[in-house]
Amino acid sequence: MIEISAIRKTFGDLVAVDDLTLNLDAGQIFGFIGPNGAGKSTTMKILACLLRADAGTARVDGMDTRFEGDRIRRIIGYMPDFLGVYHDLTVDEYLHFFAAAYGLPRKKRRATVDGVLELTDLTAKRTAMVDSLSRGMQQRLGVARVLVHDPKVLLLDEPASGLDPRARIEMRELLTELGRMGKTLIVSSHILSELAEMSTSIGIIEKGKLLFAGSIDDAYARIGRGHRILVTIETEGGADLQAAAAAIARDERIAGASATDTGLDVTLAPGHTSHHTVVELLLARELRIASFTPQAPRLEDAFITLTKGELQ
Amino acid sequence: MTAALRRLATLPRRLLVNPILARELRVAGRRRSTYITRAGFALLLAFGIVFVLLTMTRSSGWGGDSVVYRAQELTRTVQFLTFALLWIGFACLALLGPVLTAGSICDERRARTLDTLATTPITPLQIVVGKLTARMQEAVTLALIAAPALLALRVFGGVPGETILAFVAVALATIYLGAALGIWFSSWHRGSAGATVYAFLTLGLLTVGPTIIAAVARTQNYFNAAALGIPQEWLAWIFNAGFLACPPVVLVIEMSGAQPPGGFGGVTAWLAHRRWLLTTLWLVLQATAVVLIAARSVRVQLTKAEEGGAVKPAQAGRESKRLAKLRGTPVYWRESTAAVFPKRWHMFVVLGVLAAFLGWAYAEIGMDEGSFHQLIGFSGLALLTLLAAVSTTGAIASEREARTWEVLLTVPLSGWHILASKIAAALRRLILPGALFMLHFIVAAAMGHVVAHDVLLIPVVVLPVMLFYLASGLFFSLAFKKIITAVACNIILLITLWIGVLVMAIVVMQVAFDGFGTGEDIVGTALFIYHPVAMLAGLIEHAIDAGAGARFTQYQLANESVSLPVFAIALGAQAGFHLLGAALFLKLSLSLFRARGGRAS
Ligand SMILES: Nc1ncnc2c1ncn2[C@@H]1O[C@H](COP(=O)(O)OP(=O)(O)OP(=O)(O)O)[C@@H](O)[C@H]1O
Ligand SMILES: [Mg+2]
Repeated sequence: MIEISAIRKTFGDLVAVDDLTLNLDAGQIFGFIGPNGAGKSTTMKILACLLRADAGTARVDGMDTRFEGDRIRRIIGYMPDFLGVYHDLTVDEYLHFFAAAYGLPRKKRRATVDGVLELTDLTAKRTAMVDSLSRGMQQRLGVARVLVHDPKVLLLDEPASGLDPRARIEMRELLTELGRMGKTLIVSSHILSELAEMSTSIGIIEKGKLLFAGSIDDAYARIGRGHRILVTIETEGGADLQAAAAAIARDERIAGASATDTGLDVTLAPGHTSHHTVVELLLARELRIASFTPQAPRLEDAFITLTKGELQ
Repeated sequence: MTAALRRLATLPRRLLVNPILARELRVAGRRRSTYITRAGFALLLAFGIVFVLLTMTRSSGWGGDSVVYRAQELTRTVQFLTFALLWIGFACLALLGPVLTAGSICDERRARTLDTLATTPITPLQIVVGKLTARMQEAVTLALIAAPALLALRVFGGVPGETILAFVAVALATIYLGAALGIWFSSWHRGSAGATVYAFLTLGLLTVGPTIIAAVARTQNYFNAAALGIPQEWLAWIFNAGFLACPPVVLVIEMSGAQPPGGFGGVTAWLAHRRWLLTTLWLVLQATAVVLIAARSVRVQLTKAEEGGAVKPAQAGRESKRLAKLRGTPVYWRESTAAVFPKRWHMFVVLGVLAAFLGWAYAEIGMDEGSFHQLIGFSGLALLTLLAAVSTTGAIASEREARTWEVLLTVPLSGWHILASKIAAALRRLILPGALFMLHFIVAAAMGHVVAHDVLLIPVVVLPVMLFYLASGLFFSLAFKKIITAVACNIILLITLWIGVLVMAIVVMQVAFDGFGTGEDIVGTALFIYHPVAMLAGLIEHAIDAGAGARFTQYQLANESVSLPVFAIALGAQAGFHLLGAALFLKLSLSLFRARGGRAS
């Protein structure tokens, strides 16, 4: 659905995007992460036909962004990192404005606008002026706007910024649902745990260079850190946690294990993803498992390891 | 007491040593356009002076004429040029005043930096004075570049130094008033375009209004001094004060050296010969009052939270009516349905004032007074053109500032569609003033004072001119990031085409044809056809004459009398010229949009 090959964009001396190549299939949710000024927004703008890459090609659904902007615009929804609002419109009018701009027939507009308002939970605010909305609501309105014309590809630049925890969870569910509907999403964010939960793949960019692109497991493997599992053990029988940890750590499928106050902290070796390994080893030592908690992959670790955090 | 004195003594320092001023000056110093303006202005000035020298070398080549004649001729030319430069400079500065500051407060509000300012100990007066000083210092710089150059021309026998001084002083006072009004309207208007229009209208009202009232009051002998029991010259003085309110009128008086009718009884002779000083003082006084009002207004803005507010349920019906108008042209829809007046009652106040003024003028002057129609014709054309010149200049820049431009560019509307919608919407907003303008002539035609078919031709003059400046405004809006630059460019274009070209033509005639003679008639007629003001005046003159019963009057083209078909062709030529210009600017805008409007393809 999206094919970027070796694009490069410079602003004067500054290389904002450097030789970036990326391919995404339909239905993928691509989490785009990187420190401030890494080039995420610039890449998205190139895909949205707002900026012209100095070199390389970018295609959306097979169409070249340099020549087929008019057709690409019909199938993409781009939400900039800064939501521009027309101060003289109400929420309803704002959405109708864009519905008309995308050429939706008059009869269909009402239903469509009602639909996206419902989806983004803004129905109660439909007669409010756009600039009276709180930042989070404006953010939701931005999402509502890009959905008006039912685009195949969504380019969302930090859609979750400014949202409260509940709205963030709803946003995540919404985006997951959109992915399930077969849309291709590129979502940039600084909140890594969120991206980790919904993305089918991620990309890490720094100083315009794509350092990594692939699944989260791959990212995890790449930095040499496997899945981490916290286990609590029923210790009434007087189990020796220290000894158990040492024994488990010797197994080649385990990267490391240590005893905690109530149990064990086990990390699988890179390339090994089956949690059953840990259960097997525990049962072999006749330890009674009270709880078994796989830790969410720590994208922060990957991020910190892969990027240097230097501003460009 | 001493504390109050100390406060007063430190006031100038507190006002001028001020972070707002410092920031604005720093930003202006960084901007390339600042230097481009200065260089362009200096170039223009040099151009004018080179022309004088050219004229001189030519005149010295005349063999047959006596030395005395040559000297007189030279003095005349230099004088004409100096006055031309003075007038162009005055027009530019006077019209730029509101433009300079109209965006100053509303931009801060839109960028949400006003809230930030509100949390600092900066006072509203400091904000207003800081912005005003910073933005005016450019104009002052330009005036100060010009003054010595013009004074230098005196070597060749230009105009008296005091006249130059008068022009500079009055121009600066006018720009001060304009800028002060701009900042005031900026403080409670949401967009800089709206603030500009309001500031222009108010500036016109404050300067031209008293003059018209004084003129009418004088001619109609409103007050009988004897009956009121006051000396006759007091009344004369009051009426003359009305003329003093209008900078161009005072400058004309100053230029011609004429005594105003009635004189200035009771005022010392010295002051009586320096009316421009009184005008300057009066303008400065008004401007200072406006600054104080603006500071108050900013204080209110700072303490009041921005309340976009939810639309009241009662208005919900109206909203959906607005939505019903939304068809396939969203950009046009949004701009044309946006309220011209922030509050509905503003419209009624403006219309009421206008109706009252016209009604009074109808009653006092009467519809059979030819110069009255000419006055309405000229001021209407000037006002509509000025409104057109400022109403598209913000079209693109304001979207850029509100960051909606990027979003708009990702929708599948073509550049042509977006630009044409902007022009159409701006034209749509000018329907009300345009209709009012036409209404006057329709009423006059209905009453039989002017002939109807001439009234029908008025839009043929006015509309193409408006379209021309709408298109050029759009072009400048695309070309420049700042609304101010776009507005300034468009107004300078207007002044160049309306005054500059005339001056150039006269000077070229002088240089090329040894004064008027050979080509005078042809050039004169061509200029007449070129100039909308002249054509409109010709049209109205015929309308009045024919209306007065002189059945077979001919139309006037400069010095020639022509029949309707010939006049219609001339009218067509002028309309065609402006429409062509409009099309050209639109085409240029489109290429500019494609080249750097922000779309990659
Ligand atoms: N119009 C521009 N002119 C000059 N430099 C620019 C422009 N737009 C972006 N840049 C520069 O390009 C680099 C990449 O910017 P970009 O906005 O793509 O970063 P980002 O990854 O989106 O950062 P953030 O997380 O802060 O949003 C930055 O160094 C930025 O300063
Ligand atoms: Mg960004």
